[in-house]
Amino acid sequence: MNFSQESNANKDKEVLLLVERLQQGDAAALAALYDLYAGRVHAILLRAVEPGLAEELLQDAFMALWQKAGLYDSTRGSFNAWFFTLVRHRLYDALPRYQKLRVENSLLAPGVGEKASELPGPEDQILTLFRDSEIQEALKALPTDQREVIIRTFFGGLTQRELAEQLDVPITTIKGRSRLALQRLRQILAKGEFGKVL
Amino acid sequence: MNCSKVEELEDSYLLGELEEKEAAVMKQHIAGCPDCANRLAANQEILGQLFASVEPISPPPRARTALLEKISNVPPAALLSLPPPRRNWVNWAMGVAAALIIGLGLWVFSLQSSLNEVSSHQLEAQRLADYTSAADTRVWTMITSEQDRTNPNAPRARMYIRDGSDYYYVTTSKIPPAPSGKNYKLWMVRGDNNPTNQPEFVSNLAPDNQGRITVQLANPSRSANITSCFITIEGGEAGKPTAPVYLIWSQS
Repeated sequence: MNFSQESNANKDKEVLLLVERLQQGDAAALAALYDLYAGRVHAILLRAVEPGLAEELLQDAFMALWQKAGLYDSTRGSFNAWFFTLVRHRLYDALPRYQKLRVENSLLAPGVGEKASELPGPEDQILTLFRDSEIQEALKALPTDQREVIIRTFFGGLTQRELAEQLDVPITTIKGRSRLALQRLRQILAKGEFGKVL
Repeated sequence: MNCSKVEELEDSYLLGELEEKEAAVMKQHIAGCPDCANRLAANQEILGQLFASVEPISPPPRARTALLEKISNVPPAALLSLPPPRRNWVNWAMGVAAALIIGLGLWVFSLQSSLNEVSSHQLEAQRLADYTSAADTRVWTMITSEQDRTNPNAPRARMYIRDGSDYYYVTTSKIPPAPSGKNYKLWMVRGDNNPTNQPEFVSNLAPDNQGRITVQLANPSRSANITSCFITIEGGEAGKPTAPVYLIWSQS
């Protein structure tokens, strides 16, 4: 086990201890988990809705964590995956009630001297959501249609059904693209194709 | 259940939101299907990695303050994940007998007993969550002292009551076991037709081994007009409080 893996393992243990305390109703544990995760949840929400709504949804997501932590079962998956799924579903549920901004509207406007035509496409700009270059590269390596499904359904607040309607394709197509994209990401990241063992 | 159905229900399964029976069927399928087991594990690993890699954008500090303020009035997961129903006729009978003896006309029963009539305790937990988070539900927080008001590790009890509802809830957290031979007793002072302001006995309370209690109490008057509620530790079955107040909320 290298230093990075050991550090991640320690962090996972710390998170699990906090989750156990949260499951006992410890408000201080929720505050600690908020400090660990709020920035990431906020970043995702800002991609889907305007800042005021993102702040409201951020509180909603952690309120859901406060009330549903007892449903987390570590035998079914990691807390990271569970909480990310919880956040995504709160976003899916909430968006119809709000004025949803199109992903394109949340992107940066061209700066001085830049031409819009020279800017990267929306999906490429969204890759700046991720801090790890390995993840960015892995996403860029996906075929465009598969990357679009991952970005827009996992980080854009759209359900697979909504994306299918927007693109006017059968939902089975979207499901297939999602399945293939996850499979491909798994292969890329497992092989460390971009120089890092995750 | 086939592999396609497992894929469809993957998120709900992970979130623990499937009905017990459906979750059991899915678990059985996954245990016997390496393809599904591998796919689920791998997908969760990738999603966890993507989430972990998101570049954080700090929210305004007021969001944290507002969240912690909000949760002080909402029961945590510990109280919403109710234990499987079990009969506790002694507590139930004592509660009813006490209520009858002092002529309150208040029907008191233990939530754990009432849950025997509910097919899924998850539904009851959801009902509790809906009730306690409703905008018109009043929350009276009972504390040991003013100093402990902001201490998240101090014992605490909350009464959630709504005008017009024929029941209400009381929850507690971090209550230590009652001393041998003694019981926690809940009392309230109603504001309606109560010129003497005498406290009424409401219920005996028995915390679990983590200091938690969740009771649903009938409220035939459907009124939320209460001026005080408090908990004492009593040695007998007196119809009025004799011991010092342990936890209290008071309008004054």
